Amino acid sequence: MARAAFRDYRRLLRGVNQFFQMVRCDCINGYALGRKVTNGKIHEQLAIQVFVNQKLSLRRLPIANRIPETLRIPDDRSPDGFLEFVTDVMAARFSSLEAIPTPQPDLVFTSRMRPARSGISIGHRDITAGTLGGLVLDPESGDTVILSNNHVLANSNHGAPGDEILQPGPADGGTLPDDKIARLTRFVEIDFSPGAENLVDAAIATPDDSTDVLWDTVEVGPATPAHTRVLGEADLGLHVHKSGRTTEHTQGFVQALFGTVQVKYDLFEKATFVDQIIVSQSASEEPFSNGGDSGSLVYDSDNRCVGLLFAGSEGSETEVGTTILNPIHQVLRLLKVEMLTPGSRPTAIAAGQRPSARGHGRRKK
Amino acid sequence: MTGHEAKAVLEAHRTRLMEIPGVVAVSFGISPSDPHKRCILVHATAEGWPPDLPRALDGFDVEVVRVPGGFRAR
Repeated sequence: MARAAFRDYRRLLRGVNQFFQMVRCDCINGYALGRKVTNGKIHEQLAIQVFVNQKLSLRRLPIANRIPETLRIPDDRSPDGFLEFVTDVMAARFSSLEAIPTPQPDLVFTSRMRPARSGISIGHRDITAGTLGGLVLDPESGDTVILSNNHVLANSNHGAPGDEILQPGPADGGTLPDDKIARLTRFVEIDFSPGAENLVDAAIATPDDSTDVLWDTVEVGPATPAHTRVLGEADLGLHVHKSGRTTEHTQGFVQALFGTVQVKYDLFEKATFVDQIIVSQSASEEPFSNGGDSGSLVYDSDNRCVGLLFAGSEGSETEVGTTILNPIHQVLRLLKVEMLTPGSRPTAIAAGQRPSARGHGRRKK
Repeated sequence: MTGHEAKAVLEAHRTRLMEIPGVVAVSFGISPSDPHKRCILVHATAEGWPPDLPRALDGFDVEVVRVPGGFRAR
């Protein structure tokens, strides 16, 4: 039987499920997504944490109130038609239903985090929020710098080198001076004039303190992006994934290449981009991206970076949303930066070095 | 027909195609109706076939994908 992945847990807990019914009848105090805990030790295994007044042996509980150690939930995408979810019963009381903890992994993408990992909220002081794509090497200065979009780090050409960059971005509660993480270094200017052709929407920012950033993408893993991949015709249909501030970790496929795309930046400004990658997803999957995901780096299944996410269209009941990427080799070439190689930055989070996350209590979707 | 040929076709026609009202993207990719078929994809904001859009370009079939609000920076 296939074990449920993070997105399966999230889908289950966000929907109508048996735990919700148990909260309503006061059988349990709440539930959340977390890591399995045994004898005070936190394991890697994800689990549905179920909060009760007191842990009791199964034989002392009515059958209807027993929480099995694993749940088998029917799922069409699983080879045998079922997914297995692990549970973890904990003693915890809350003063009201409002106090039920929300799933913490969700907040990772919009919280303040030091060192900041890739895939989370960031933005120029005068924008809402975008995504910290990753870290690259700036050979000009020798610094490790943050890679994202021009419209995320440079406010669509309105920013200037030295401008403050906040993590999280202002829409997620980031404020000056506490949440400043970097200063804008440079960007590739977007040409909005009619007939102009752009290749990328890209910018870099230099962290104030190199230990404030970590080369580790949330839900993708460490040592990304170490390698890149230039897409060709044979890559049509290629499975890709990304982690971004709004839709978090999502998957899609390469629908088209060599795209010429007209992109709106506000009510009055639009720019044309050429040689773009177009990503879509099946109707049954969650949208690959949404507002706030700009700046995400997109990877193939071997975690080779293929593009920088910067634009997209809304889906509807009949149409699937579409996402536009700048080819990563054009981003690196025009920004004059290089991918970091494994070992040039810390590639994994060692025990005791977990990033600290502080929620601002606001979350925008 | 290869991707190189498709790229050349797009180079030759993209300016004219992008000037058609409602057309917001042209590319080479997977047909929305047949995942095994490759075609020139035209993303358009309006319903139906955009006026003046050819059904084929230099041997490549043209297919339309509807994006009601167009593309926005995210």
